[in-house]
Amino acid sequence: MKILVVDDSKAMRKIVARTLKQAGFEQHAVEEAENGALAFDAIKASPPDLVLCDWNMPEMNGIELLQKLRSEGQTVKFGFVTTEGTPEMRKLAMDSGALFLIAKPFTPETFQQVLQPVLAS
Amino acid sequence: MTVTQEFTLQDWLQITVQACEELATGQLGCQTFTVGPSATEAPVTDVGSYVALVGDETSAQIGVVASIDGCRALARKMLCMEPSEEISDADMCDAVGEIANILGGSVKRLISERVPGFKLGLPLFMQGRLLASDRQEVGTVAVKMGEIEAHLLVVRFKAS
Repeated sequence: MKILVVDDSKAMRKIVARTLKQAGFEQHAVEEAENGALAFDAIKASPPDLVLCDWNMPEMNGIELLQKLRSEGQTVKFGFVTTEGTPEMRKLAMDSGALFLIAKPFTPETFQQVLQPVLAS
Repeated sequence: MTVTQEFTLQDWLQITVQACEELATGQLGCQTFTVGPSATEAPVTDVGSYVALVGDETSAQIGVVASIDGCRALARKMLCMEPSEEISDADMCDAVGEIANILGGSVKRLISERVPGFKLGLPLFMQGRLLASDRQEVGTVAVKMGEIEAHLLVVRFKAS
């Protein structure tokens, strides 16, 4: 399976990739994009099996990316890994078609618990 | 009484320390987290990263600052690097910026239980002493994340 990690921070992209390995998902290929606009192009060109996306990014933010994908009928599995963990943000994410929202800071256990059912389905 | 008046600088600092402890002992893997003295001025020589939390009635900047070596150590912790590994300035800025970003997000989540509607900005790494205007008040708390000494800093915009 292919997982696309979208975050404007190179450090956080590394951390998410490392946490995926620590959580037992080392068999999946990880690709990266540094904002929503680049991620949109990457998803259009070759849809991944899962998108792990930050919320606050320049160019196109995470929720704009998700809404644009869904408005074009793209049904790729999509979840947020973000500092935005308020109930309002979670509701907006789910209403827009996200499967989950993992709030930073996170642990490998959180990844395992949240992603296992998503990647298994 | 308005929300702004109810939400004091001490409230901001207390929540920021709580968020930092969660980050330090979780994501950064520090075995210990200790809180030192607080002050009302920014440290003179420190560098670090700031992120804005903007609300309808009040706003603040949340910062994490340390010596340049302290920032490098924090960045290495964030990236799970060995203490002796070289780290570029760009990677240090990015990693410490992400620490400020996570702190800001956690503070926003904790604050939203009392005051919803804050917007979180993007982190900015800076070197130099922060000076406050008459409309701002500054609070800092010394913290130690493992062996790394740092200051948490809140710049709160006073109620008009």
